[in-house]
Amino acid sequence: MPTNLGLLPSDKPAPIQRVQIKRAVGDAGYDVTSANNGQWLNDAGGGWMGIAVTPRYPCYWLVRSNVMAHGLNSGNNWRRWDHAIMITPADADGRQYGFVCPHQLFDLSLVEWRTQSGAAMFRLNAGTTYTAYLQCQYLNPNYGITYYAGKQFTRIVGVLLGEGVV
Amino acid sequence: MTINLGNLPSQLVLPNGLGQIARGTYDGVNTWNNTVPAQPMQDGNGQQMKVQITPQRAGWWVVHAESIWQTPDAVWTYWHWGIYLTPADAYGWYDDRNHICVHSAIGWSEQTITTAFRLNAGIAYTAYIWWPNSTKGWNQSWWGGKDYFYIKGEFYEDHE
Repeated sequence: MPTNLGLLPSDKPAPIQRVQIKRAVGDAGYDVTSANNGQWLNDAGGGWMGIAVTPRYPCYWLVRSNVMAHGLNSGNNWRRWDHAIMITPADADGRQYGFVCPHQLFDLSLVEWRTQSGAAMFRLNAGTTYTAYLQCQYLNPNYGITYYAGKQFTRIVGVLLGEGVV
Repeated sequence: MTINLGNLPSQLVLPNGLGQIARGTYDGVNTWNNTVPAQPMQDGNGQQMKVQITPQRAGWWVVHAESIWQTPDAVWTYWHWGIYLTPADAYGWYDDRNHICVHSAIGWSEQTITTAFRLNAGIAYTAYIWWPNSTKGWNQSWWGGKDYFYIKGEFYEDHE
């Protein structure tokens, strides 16, 4: 039986992709300080904001995030909180950090929730199980913030690109 | 030479991803507030900001939108905007949002939203940039120009 390749050439591997998404499971705010730097973001359902893949071939993984946060009433001042897109184990280039996304936040009594987005590209080896996840990366000392784990508002989305092509 | 298609049928074109994009068409300011009911946002010329697809096979639709916002009011005001899918996806999901808070003193702020929906084969789906009318009050403005306002879709059919 002939195989319909459309306009694709038959002498090259077929380009294929896979998609993953995790939305927060529940709806809850989490108060954090600089003591929480390095911790994974909660999913409000007892787990974490992460997605996993095991590629069959070397490939790229495009990972994007949306996270919203506000400041706690702890200083009447602007502060910076970063969420990061991370990967474990490190990717084929030795990278653990994909992208770090700064949020500009003030006390909630004045400035409400603000969403920030990030995008990262990792290069993956075949046969290894990778997890991309969201992390509390940095917060100015002496301040507090709340990030929200909500199924409508908190997401990590992955697209596995070019398996067997790159 | 043999071609390993896994579980893919051989009578359809090999899945290779499909893209869609709609851009704003009006280089000007559009201002709404909490008197405007929930509805698709507009391109500034009366057209809804949306992308559509009827997939041949089940798969994932990654939908991504970008916009810039400001308020003309000298207060901190906040609201939602997002991506709305109709009909709901294979898991019953249809509504993803961002939250924004601005003041007239800071001018334009950029926002990006990304989500993914699981689609069934043979169904016509539409994804809109959505105004959920979730405002606290005051006025909210977006720029309708093509360089600052778009929604795009990336569809990836199953190959497992």
